[in-house]
Amino acid sequence: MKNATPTSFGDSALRLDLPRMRKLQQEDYKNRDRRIYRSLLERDATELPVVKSEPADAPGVDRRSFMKMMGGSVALAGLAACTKQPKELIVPYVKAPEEIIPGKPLFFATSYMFGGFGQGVLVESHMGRPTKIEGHAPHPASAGGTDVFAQASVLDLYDPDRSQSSRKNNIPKDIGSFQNELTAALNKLPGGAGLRILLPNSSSPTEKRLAEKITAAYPEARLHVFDPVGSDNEYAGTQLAFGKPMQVVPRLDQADVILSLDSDVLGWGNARARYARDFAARRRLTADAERNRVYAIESTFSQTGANADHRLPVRAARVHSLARAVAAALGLGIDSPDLSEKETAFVSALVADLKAAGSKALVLVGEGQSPEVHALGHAINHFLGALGQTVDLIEPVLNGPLNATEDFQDLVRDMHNGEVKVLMMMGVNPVYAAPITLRFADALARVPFTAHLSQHMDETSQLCLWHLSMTHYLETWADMAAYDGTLSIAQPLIAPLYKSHSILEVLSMIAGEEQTAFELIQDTWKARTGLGNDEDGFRRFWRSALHDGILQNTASRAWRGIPLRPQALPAEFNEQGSDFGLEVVFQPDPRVWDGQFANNPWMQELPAPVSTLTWDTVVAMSPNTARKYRIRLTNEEVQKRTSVRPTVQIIEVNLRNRIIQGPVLVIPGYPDDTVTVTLGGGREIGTVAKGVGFNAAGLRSVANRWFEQGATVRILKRTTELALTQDHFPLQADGRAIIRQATMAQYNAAPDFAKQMGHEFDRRYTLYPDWDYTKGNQWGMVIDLNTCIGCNACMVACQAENNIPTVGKSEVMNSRHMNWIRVDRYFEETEEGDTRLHVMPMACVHCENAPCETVCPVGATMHSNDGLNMMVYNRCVGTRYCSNNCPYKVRRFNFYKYTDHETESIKLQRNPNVTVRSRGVMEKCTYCVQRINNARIDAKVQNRPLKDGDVITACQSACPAGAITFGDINDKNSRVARLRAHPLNHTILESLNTRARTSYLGKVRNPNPVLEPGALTPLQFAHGPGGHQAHDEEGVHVHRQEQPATPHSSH
Amino acid sequence: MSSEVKRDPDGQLPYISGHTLTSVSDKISEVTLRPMKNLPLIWYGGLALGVTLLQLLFLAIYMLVTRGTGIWGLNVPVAWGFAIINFVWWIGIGHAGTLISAILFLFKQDWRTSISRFAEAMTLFAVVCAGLFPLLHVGRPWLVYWLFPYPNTLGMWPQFRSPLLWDVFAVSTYATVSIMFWFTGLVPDLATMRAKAKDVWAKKLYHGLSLGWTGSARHWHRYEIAYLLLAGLSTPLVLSVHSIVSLDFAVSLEPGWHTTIFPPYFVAGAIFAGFAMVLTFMIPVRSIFGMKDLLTDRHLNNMAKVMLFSGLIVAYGYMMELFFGWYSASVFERFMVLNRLTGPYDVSYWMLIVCNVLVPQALWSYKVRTNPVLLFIICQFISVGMWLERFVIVVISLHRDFLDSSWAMYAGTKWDWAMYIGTMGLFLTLVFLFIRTLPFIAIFEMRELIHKDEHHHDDHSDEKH
Repeated sequence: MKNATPTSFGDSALRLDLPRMRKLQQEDYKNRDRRIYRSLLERDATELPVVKSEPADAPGVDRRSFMKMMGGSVALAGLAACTKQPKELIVPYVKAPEEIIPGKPLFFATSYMFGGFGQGVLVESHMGRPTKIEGHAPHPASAGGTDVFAQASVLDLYDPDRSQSSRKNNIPKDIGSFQNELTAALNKLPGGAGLRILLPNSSSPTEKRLAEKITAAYPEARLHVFDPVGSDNEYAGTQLAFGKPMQVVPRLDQADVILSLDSDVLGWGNARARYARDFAARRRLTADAERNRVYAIESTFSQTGANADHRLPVRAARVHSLARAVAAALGLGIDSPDLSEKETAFVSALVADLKAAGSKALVLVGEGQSPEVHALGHAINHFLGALGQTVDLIEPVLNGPLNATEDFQDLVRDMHNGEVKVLMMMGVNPVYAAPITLRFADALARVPFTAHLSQHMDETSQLCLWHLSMTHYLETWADMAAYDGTLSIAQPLIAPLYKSHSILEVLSMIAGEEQTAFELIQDTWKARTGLGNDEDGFRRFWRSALHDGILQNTASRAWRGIPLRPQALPAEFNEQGSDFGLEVVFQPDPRVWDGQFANNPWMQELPAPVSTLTWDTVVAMSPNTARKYRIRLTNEEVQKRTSVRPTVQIIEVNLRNRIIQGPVLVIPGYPDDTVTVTLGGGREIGTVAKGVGFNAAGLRSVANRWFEQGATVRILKRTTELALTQDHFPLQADGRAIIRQATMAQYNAAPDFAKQMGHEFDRRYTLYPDWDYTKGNQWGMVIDLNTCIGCNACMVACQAENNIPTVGKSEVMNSRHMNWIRVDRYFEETEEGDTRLHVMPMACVHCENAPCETVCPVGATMHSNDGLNMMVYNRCVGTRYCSNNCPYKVRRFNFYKYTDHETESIKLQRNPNVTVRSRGVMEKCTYCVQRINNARIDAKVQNRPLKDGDVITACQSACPAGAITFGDINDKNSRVARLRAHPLNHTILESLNTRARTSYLGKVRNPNPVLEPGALTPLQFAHGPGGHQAHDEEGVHVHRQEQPATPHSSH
Repeated sequence: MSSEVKRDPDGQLPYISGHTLTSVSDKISEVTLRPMKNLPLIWYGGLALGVTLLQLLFLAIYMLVTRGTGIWGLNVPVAWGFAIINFVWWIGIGHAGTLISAILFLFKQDWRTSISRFAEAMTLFAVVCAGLFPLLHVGRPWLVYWLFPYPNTLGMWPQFRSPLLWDVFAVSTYATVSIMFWFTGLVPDLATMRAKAKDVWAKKLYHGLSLGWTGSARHWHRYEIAYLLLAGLSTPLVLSVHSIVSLDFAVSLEPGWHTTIFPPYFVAGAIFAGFAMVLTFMIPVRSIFGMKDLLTDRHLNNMAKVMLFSGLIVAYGYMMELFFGWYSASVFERFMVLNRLTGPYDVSYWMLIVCNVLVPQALWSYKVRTNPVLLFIICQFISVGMWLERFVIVVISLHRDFLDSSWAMYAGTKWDWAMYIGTMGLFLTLVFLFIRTLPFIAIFEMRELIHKDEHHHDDHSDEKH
């Protein structure tokens, strides 16, 4: 660990020794002259009344009153300044810590555990402050990219709402007393009977070791796992199919044909970032790999579904029937249920493709589906020979128990029965997240000694006797395994900001050892490597493990040739029909997950991938379902002109007497007769989280964790507004050629279709000579719309890198969100009546002919020699004319003082190389100019020209799919220049002669011609190849006719 | 002179009737010089209303400067809203004065005489109100002086390609020349006031302001030349200011803004709105102060004709916008037109058509043109219509432009309205103070008119005899 050593004053005698002074004062007081007194009370007092200094998070002193008090003291300090100050010495770094250069970040490899699975990350550290998370290429779960969660995780470290000390009954109390009380409580339990420990999912070998240690010390104690999401169905499915629980590791880059059965592998998978990279490898048309074809049968609108070539939205309960139908049609010897005409067509086309792909096919089943469906998926993969080809089965990565939910139910039952005497909960929040049917809070009240380790004084902490403050992952040592079993040791980036402890440390406390996390991890690895006695060897191992952020070659070996059990293909099958009533599907939220990111403003303000919803959770449903339940569509008020912003209705969903109330969001493309609710809303604590959305746990049961039929809906009189970053506007004009797409056949016939769909400005018509951009580095970006999955990781990365403030719900509702890069979403209604979704990351495109620059009256936005459109914040007076004149509307304005200048902890996260913007200033994407300049300086120091790959922008670095390429377009061998030369390359709104530096690679779909007959018809263009006319009436028309499926935001 | 109303040789009503040289001076200066208690109650009411609303303006400015432009309804596709709408609206209103004073002067339109002073004053006040908006609507109003080319240690110039900078020059030039023009025209009258004032302080004030005017032939000679030159200088400004303001829009890329018709169309709209505003004040004022003999129905008739004419140009502009939308063959332009006609703000578009195109057609009727009540009502329609026109141009164009992902809606907040209504308070306050402190009709020019009139009449009598 390489923290900056804090400046030390060296001589301890010079320190302000408050306790000693207080003691002296007290002594004086005791020996005072008691003949003179103000009151009797004072005369008889033996002790000097001391104003108790309250801890920073003591109740009663909120931030405001603190600021008021401070304001007073500062004013008085001003008066005091009139007197001469005593001489004080400050000491600079005489010997600077090695490697620390102010302004130059250091990068450390570590690992981030999410849902129990490790993800390697590189952490950028400025003067000892971790500020930004980057992907870690050598780590298999990252492969260089990150997911949104890893990006956002750094902000949690600085969350001002974090718990800062341990508390008993909500009163700060030191951890020593806790240990004493715990020891006393444990001593009363013979063999630990009644001691229960509740942990989150984890793959940590040290945790496993400690668990074993605890069970050795307390044989009657039990460890449970609580995870509102988890992998139960995956393990149960492999158990059913193969007789033992196993981890499924899909190899998306190996699969020619993918069938996703309600599996959001790109949004929900254990290694989202890696899966996105593998997926992209088969979508990229600029490489040699063959294009894959993806079918999605799903009960919601997932990221995976949005990226599928064919998508069949059905109720969650129907997925099982379709899985059986696929198995039956493949000839696995089971009967097919009855299918509708559309389903039959879909399944038969799909089955033909699966058969043709054989071992290169891949069936994925989502965690939301039952073990039976998982088993069917394995059976199909087994039948096609895909096991070992496109999917591997390995030893479970998680420590277990693997039937976590069942096991957790046991715990709650025991709690209800009063069998649990000591309950230690760590890093979980069951009071908030446990399905309501368990009545967890009631059960908790029956446990005499409860303690909760967490980063916040959260819902569970409030109901426990003891609350212990938990470290952030960047503050502690850990070890973990990735989705494929690869092990890594995580090092801390900063000493704990508060008096916090990690799970490992508390486990060690229970085991009666009280070791630090560092010692615990080292012990584990000394034992594992067998280098316990070889000090040098171990040091070498340790150094390389930390440096690399990964233990090489520790990925689990895949099981080969496991026989399929007949139980995977039961003959008996009854589908829950739609006559059971409305179905409710539960999903982890794509932004706040199970609620753990609910207090993270970046995540709350991040638009959800399909709905663009921020700051809320909703009941999402299809337009048909809405009509069936007489729920209005969102845009009604705007259309009726009674309101400028759409309001939505609030409904009450009643699922077998479990009731929630929430706003409805109607989204095209959702299946009918089912609604989707996401977890993570309705938190009761946290300045950010509190009151956002509703808690879906209130509707969940343990038996049907992911979907359940039989809900009723009641429309309430209340309405609400949702903060959507892109409203559902009825679109009236078309042919804008924003998303340019074609099928594979059309692409092969006209590889430059994307260029032809636009109207290139004829440069002969311009009066001014062109600026010379042929010299020096000229920066440009290419975004591949084939590989972009719309995960929004770039948005969070940009926010972290560029100190972009969050603005809050009401400001987002008024389109004032500040994200420099956004992911535009377009719905498309196809000829077949399906809904397709297109995404397009959009940031400043750095026009060579920038409309913003000419209209700024003060010259606050200018062009640099290397082709950057720059913002000079200091010069900006805020006329906002540049934003009006920007056709891409990528400029964001500080309408208020959005940046938090008050909260101390948040300041630590800021990137010191990026200006923090004040009120009244325009801002926008800079192509990460600070990174360009860093690279330029480095190159200059090394006396060499900049080379391709020296500059990686924050969005590019985060993108798990590698969809963003940045570099010097003058360097003909750079990746960006090569992509710009690709026939698919095009800019948008090129008819405006903006000459954007960011270009896109046109989107090519790979539909099955059987399902989409139009896929083979070549595109027709109004003007022949090469003949571009600026304004072509015909062009618009023909384009519209030939492409009735042109994207438009619906409905 | 007979007691019946005289008519011109062409049978028109006269611009002034029943007045002698002395009576004109007395009558006009009396409004300024009469004791406070003799002022009509409605003057007090008007000033009180103005001052009250002015406080709202102060509050709105305080809130704006301390909190930020966020208190307005602006957002990212619609980064200009009420402030720019109001700016253009006020600047438009400020066009009538100079037009009446300068252009009609050059064209020797005698009827302008009795309205010119008032109209010029309104021009100035409107420009004051207009000027507030661009200065305050910026994100950091305390730095707005950066828009001016002043010598500074940074060696920074403003960016001369920006239409906003042209605006700064156009509006400040216009304001300067208008003040000079207005004040020059006031000097002979201030001397008259100096002579008539009884109050010591009033005498001192007018003494100072009249710059030693003695009414000598040499003074009159110099004055005539200066006034003619200033009229010549003001004339192109009448056309240039709103042309430049329209370039704020026309120079940009936005569909609905990017169009060549804007300069003439904006100028016509400005004259349209300016005349409506002059009439809005003229009609009640001439009743309150009994000035129907100086501000006659014939004036109303003439002004209404100008409104009708400029209104037709504006209507042509609306038609052309629709035509261009189709003729451009650009999806964006075409959508912009459709969105105006049928989009979420279609009500404002159609109200604009009603206010600015349909209602003014009533002015074809002589009876309407000379009916003060009807004319007053039509003027209100035009003022509302012209505000809506700017709303349509600014907001409807911006709220849905090129990429539908960025589309959003816009609505003014209470602070938007406070600022707008507050500037009306400023305007009212200034107008009522002006009525009280300066002769709101040019005395000497009216006397000149009577002189001409009598002379003219004498000629006729000579012929008859």
